[in-house]
Amino acid sequence: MRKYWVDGTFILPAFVVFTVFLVIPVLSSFYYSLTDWNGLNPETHFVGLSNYFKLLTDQDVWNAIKNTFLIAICLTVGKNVLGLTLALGLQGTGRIHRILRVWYLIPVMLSALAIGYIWAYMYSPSDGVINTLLGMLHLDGLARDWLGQSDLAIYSIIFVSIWHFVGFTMIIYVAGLQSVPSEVYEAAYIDGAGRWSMFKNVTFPLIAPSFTVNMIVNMIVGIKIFDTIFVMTNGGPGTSTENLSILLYRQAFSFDRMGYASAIAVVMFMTILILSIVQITLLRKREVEY
Amino acid sequence: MDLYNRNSLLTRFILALWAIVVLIPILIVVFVAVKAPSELAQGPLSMPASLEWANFAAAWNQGAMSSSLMNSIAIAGTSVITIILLSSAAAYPLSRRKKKWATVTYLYFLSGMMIPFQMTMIPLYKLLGQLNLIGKYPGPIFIYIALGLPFSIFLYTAFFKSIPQEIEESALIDGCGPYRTFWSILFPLLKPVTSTLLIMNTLTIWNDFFVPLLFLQSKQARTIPLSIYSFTGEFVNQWNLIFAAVIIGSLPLILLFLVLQKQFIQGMASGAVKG
Amino acid sequence: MKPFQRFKKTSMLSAMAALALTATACGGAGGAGGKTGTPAGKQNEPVTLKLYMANTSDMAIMPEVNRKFEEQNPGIKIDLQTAPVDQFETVIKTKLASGDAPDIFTIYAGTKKDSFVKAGYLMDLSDQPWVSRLTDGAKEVSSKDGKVYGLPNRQNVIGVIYNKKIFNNLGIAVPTNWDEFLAACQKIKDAGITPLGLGMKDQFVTQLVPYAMAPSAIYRNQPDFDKNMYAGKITFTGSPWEQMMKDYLELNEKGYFNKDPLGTSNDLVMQTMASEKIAMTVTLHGRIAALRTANANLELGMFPLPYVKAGEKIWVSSMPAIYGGIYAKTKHPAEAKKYFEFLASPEIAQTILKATNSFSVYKDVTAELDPALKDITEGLKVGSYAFLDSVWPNTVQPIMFQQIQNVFAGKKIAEMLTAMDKAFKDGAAQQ
Repeated sequence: MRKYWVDGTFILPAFVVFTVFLVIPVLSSFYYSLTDWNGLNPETHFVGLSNYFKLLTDQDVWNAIKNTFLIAICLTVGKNVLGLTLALGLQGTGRIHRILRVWYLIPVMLSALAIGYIWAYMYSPSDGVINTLLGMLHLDGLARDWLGQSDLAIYSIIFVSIWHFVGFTMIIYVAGLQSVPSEVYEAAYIDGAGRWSMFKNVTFPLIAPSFTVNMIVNMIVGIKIFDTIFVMTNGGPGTSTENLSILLYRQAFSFDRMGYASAIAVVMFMTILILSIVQITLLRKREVEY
Repeated sequence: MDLYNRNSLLTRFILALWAIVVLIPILIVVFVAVKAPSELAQGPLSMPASLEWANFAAAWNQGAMSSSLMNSIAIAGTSVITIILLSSAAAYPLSRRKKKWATVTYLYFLSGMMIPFQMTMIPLYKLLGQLNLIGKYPGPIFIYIALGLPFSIFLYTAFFKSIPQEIEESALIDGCGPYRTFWSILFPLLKPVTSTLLIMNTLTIWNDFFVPLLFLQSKQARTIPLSIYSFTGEFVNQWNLIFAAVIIGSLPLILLFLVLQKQFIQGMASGAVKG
Repeated sequence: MKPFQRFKKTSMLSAMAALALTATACGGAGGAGGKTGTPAGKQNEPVTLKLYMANTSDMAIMPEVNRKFEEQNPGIKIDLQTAPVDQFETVIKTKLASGDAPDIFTIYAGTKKDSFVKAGYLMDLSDQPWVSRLTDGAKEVSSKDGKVYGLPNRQNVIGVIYNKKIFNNLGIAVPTNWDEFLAACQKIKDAGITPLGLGMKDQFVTQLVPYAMAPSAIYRNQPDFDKNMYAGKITFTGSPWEQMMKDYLELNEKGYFNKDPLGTSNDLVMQTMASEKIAMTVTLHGRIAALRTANANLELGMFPLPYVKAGEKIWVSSMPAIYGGIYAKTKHPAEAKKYFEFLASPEIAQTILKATNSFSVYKDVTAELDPALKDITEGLKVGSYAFLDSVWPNTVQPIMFQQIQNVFAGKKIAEMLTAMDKAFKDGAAQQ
């Protein structure tokens, strides 16, 4: 009994703030999804599940789902591979390592507004930085309209998002690597373990908690990504970069269909929830517990 | 320590390459910030003909950045510290108890990360309106805490698991109560995680735009991102002032990084979790 | 056993802290609910009008105008807050839906304001003295079902902004029909200069060329086009839109636009135009000021897009912009109306027009305009039609943005018009 009391005092403050300022407000979204509310008019009608049925046949929704998953998968893989590589490379205490750890985090400090402006110039087809550099390397053939080509724009956005946020993934791995006692390394090193086998057998199992965190968080962030798309293409050209977040924002605030947008949000939430539970169950098994 | 500093050629190449990939867009920020408006027409990567330091003064004054900087520091500071305290405390029992209620509570917190923020805007606005918190600092602070908790609890829980249970068991046997054990023994062990969370939460809150846009509109109450956005207009965006403001707004963050770096290194030197 | 007692105390404390937290929150709620009206004795205290406005081009002059108003009306204070144009609508909708409305806020002309009217958020201003002075067009776009809901303050025009130096050097006269326009583009292209700038990465840009074409191509001959659309008698499919889009695409196929317009941002187009590497761009007249900021030596002019055969009249796309509307349930209706009267007074109206370099919305006020606008001013007298989305249901414009991008990416024009027809039908039903 006493133990529960103690546990309760640890958890309760977080529980209260979280419930009052996030969960309770969000519950009304569930209710809105059952109405035809336009987001403005105080008058609404209860329409049951019809918003959800409409979702099933809405081509824009399916297109957005496809884009959402493509972006989420690429971001999760890309940020983890790059972030882990950078973190492994930066374990040292040398000055360059210290500088680079901060250096890689600088993009995270830029607001979406700045990202939109900067990358419009990087990607600009006529005298953009990337195409100019390719020209200087005599690779003109690779020059593209990075944000204007429907099949390419989504990857251009994915790259920007990796560029913007990989620093976060990196520092979580850095923190994880620091939790690996250095004796473990030294012992393995003395045992003559090679670089790869050391990573596979020693480092990786020990940083499993950071791996779990980075996989799940990047998946969630990847599914929800909004700002980067909003400032770079706003879903265009056409609908080629429109994901669920952009779609629901447009439905809510451009088309005045708050009820329908809420239904999209609920579907999004449920999808993420299921995927997270699956991931957590799978990844937890790999974690070494002391 | 020598062990850490040895990198393969390939790793070094990737480190250098990514450093450059980060550099080029950052150069755009700096170049644009020190250019006169007429020079912007030459494209962002042309070398600035003269350095217009006046841009920084103009951004500082027109954007009322002295007050927005203070507001940002106050709001981000209060929120982040509270997040750290509440989330580390909540994560402790959640990571230790193998009961169903712990898993359910854990998932409950986690679900906070999965909510699309755009959908919470109207209900949150209604709530803060009812609490009479619109235009006042506690409003955004509570929201930031609620939004920051899930990820922080998630990360702390993951890392609490890597701390051997024997540490606290022996502490408890020594007559150290659970609160003392948590605060003076376990919490310090999680320094790398705490530093990471300090950085991540500060950055997220510092750059957040929608919450202050909704709740802190007056010139006296607004935060850095709103100052930056004040240079955008219907037809003209004053990019040189925007980027000067971006740089001014980032300086405190870089300072914070440099301070926390030290914590990182210390954590490392002591072998972090050795108990 | 000693430690346990301490736990109990501490746990009690935490629990109380948590309770206190909720208690403050609830206490706050009581405070908000208990807002009382102004007691009769306090009438001398100044009334504050809260303004929440989009940061449009007129906002630069408003602090000065508001100061003048406060000087003349010591009992009223103006609290002006602005939001970035992109996000304004989102925030104002959130505020209104949550019951925290400012006294005065920006509304957009035409059908965009209708959902606000329908939800009962806007005050009927039909009886205000300035209404009779409005031009017909200005009155039209601020009205719904014959009632006026907003105060217009300036008029925007879409046309071709051009570099006079390039035109003079190449001996090109201002084109008066489509063939001349195409010939001018060809001549400029042959001289190694980009004839037309187009930054379609920013979606709103996609609409500018068709908007400039439509008044001459459609509304000059079929003034009832939109009415018939609502009645379901006609569709975009089978209308002059087909030819308009073909001609729009042809400009691209002939290489008159900059390379790869889909991936080019509007900012970049403006900067390239300021460095005199682009000769013309179809856009709002407000961008002249932006171009001048970037390069003070530019010699600019603006003419109506001549989307006509030789000898036909060119109509211009033009629309009044609304300053704002008054919240229907404002506590200070008299003061808010007084403020609008002040803004509509010829002297202040003139000040705002001058600052925004815009056309007048009042019959009795003439604007002093930038000389670059001379040609288009003459053009406006021939005939004009409002920006198309001001008449459409609000679902059509966002779909059109996407679809025009699609067409430039290679999809069929027919698909675009079908999608727009569907959006029109859906939106009309939703209204």
